Amino acid sequence: MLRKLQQHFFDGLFGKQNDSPILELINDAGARSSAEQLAVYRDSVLGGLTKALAGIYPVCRRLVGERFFDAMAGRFIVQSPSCSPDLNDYGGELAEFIAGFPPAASLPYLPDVARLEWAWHRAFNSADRLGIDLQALAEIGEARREHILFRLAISATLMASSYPIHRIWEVNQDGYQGDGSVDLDEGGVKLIVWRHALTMHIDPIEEPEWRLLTELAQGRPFGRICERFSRYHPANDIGAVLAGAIQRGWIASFDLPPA
Amino acid sequence: MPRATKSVVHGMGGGPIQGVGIGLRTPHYGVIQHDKPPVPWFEVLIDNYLGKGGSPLTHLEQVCRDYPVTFHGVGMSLGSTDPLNMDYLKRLKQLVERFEPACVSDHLCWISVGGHYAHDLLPLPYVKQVVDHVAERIQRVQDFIGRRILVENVSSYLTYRPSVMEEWEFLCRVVGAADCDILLDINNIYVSARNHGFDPMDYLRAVPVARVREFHLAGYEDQGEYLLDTHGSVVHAPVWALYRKALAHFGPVPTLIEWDNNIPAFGVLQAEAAKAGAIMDEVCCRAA
Amino acid sequence: MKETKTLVNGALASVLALGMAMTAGNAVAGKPGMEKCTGIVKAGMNDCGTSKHSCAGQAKKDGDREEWVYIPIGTCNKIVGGKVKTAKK
Ligand SMILES: [Fe+2]
Repeated sequence: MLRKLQQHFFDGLFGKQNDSPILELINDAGARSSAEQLAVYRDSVLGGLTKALAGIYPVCRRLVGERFFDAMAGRFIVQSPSCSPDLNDYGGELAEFIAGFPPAASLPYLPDVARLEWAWHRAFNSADRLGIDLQALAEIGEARREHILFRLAISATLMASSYPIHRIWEVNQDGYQGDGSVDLDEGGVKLIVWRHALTMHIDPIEEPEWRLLTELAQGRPFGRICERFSRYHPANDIGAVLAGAIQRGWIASFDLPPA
Repeated sequence: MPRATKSVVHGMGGGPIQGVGIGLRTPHYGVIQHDKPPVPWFEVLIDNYLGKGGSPLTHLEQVCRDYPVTFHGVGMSLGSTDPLNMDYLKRLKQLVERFEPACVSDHLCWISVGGHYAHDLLPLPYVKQVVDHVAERIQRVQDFIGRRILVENVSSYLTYRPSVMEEWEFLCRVVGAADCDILLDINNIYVSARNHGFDPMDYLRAVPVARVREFHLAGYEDQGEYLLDTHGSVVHAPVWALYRKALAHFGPVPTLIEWDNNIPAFGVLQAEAAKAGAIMDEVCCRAA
Repeated sequence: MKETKTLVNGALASVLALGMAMTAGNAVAGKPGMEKCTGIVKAGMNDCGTSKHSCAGQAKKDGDREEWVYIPIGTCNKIVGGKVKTAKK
C-alpha cells in the first residue's frame, strides 16, 4: 500500500497533475481540493530543485535571465529526476538538456558555460590531494620511471570549448568591473577547473599542456605519454610542461604500479 | 528529569547541549569564526557536508572545534519503501564518528521512491503497517551508525484517506517501537494543527516526555488558506505561545532556532535565540 | 624504444631540478587563470523548510501558453560576434 502511494505521489509531483491516482488518496480539506493540496508539495519540490540549479548555474541564469532559467529548470526537473540523497549531486545533465532545448539554441555557447559551472560546483567540495611528493619521485629508479602514473588534482576537470567561456564566466561574476561584453570571435579555449585547498581556479591551458594533462587523465603511463607528446609537439620540451603543471598544482600525485 | 535551566552556556566541542542553539548557515561562517559568539551549540545540516573536502568540511571542522554541535539530516528517507541508502548512511556514520555530535536527527517522513529523490519532506499515511515499517528502518539506522537518533515531526499540507490514527499517535507508536528519541518541532506542530484543524495541545500531551531531546522553532508564512513552513522569518506569536506550553510540559528541552530562506544577519538569529532563552528561563525556573 | 627512456629521464630531471622548495599552486610564468580565494562560500543546498516556486507551478497550469517565458533576456545580449570557430591552436 505504502509503495503504491509513494509512486503515485511522485507521479503526481512530476507528471500529470489532474488525473493522478494520488488525488483519490488525499482527504478533502474544506475549500481546497486534493490537487491544490498536492500542488503545495509540487511547488516546494520544484522550487527546491530550481533553487539548487540556480545555485550551481548562476552564470547561465544571468545570461538568460531568471525567468527563462527557472522555466527551463522546471522542464529539466520533470524529465531528469534526482538520484542521490545529496542535493550536491543533482543537476549534472543540465548542459546536455540545454544543448537540446530549442529556446536556448540562439546561445550556442550556453551548454559549455553550464559544463564549466558544473565542473566548478564539483571541484568545490571534492576530496583534496595536495601536492606531489618530490622526494618519493626522486627515489624512483630509472628503469621504473616510464611506468609512473601521474594524477591530476582530484577536483580537476579538463574542458575544451569553441567559445571563450572563461571570459563569459568572468564578466558575469559579481563585482566584475567592466561592461560585461565578450566577443565570441575571441575564439575557443581549453581549461582546467580545479581547487587548491580553499582556492578555486579556472586556468586556460595551452595545447602542449592539454596534451599532457588529457593523456595522463586517461591513465597512460609516463613513458607512453612522452612518446606521444614528442610526436605531436616536437618543438616543446615535455620536461618544462610537466614541471609547470606540477608547480601549478594541476598534477597532484603519482602512482607507481608494482614491477 | 533534572536539566540545567541556564540558557546560554558556551561549551567546548563534543559536549552535551543545553539552552538555545542556532542552525549553522553558510552566510554566518565569517562572523562565527571571527567573533566566536556565545552560542551554546550549533545545529549542522549534515547533508551539506557530505563532500570529501574543500570549504564545507573546513568550516565544519572549525565550528566543531569551538562549539558543541548536533547533526540534522534530510537524507535518511526513513519512511521510504526503497532500501536504506547505505552509501549515505556510511558517509553519515563517518562524519558522526569524526565529529561526535551531541545528537543525530532526521525526519518522520519519506523523500524518495524508485531511487528518485524529491529533496522534500513528504507525508506518510498513519496506519499500523507504516508504523512497523518506519520503526524497523529507524532501528536499522541506529544499529548501523551506532547511535540513537531523534526523529522530527514535519509540517504537512495534506492528510491521507487511508490514515487511521492522528499524527501524534503515529509518532508515539513509531518511537516506541523503534526505541528512538524525538525532536519536537513546535512550529511544525502549529503549522500542521492549523492546516488540519487539530488542537496542538492534544499533540503535546500525547508525546512521551522522556523521549523529547530537542525542540525546533522557526517561522512560517501565512498563505491565507494554509500555513507554509518556509523557515524564512522570525518565530510567530502563536508559536511562541505554544513554545511556553511545551516548556511547561516537557521542561527546558534544548531548543534550536532554524532559518533557511532569506537568511538574515547573525544578530537577528541571536536575538531570536535570546528571546527563546528568556522564555525558557522564565517558564522553567518558575516551575522549579 | 631507447628514445623513451631519454625523454622520461630528461623530463623528470626538469621536475626534480625545481627542487623541494617548490610549492604547488604557486603562480608560474604562463597565462594567469581566474581564481576565487579562501573566502568563497557556496550556500548550503539542502534545507528542511518548504520552498515556493510560483514559476514552475504557474508554467504547468498555463500549459502551452508558457512560450513567452522562453526568450533569453539576461546578460547574453552582451555576448557579441559568433561565427563559430574551432578551438584556438
Ligand atoms: Fe525543524
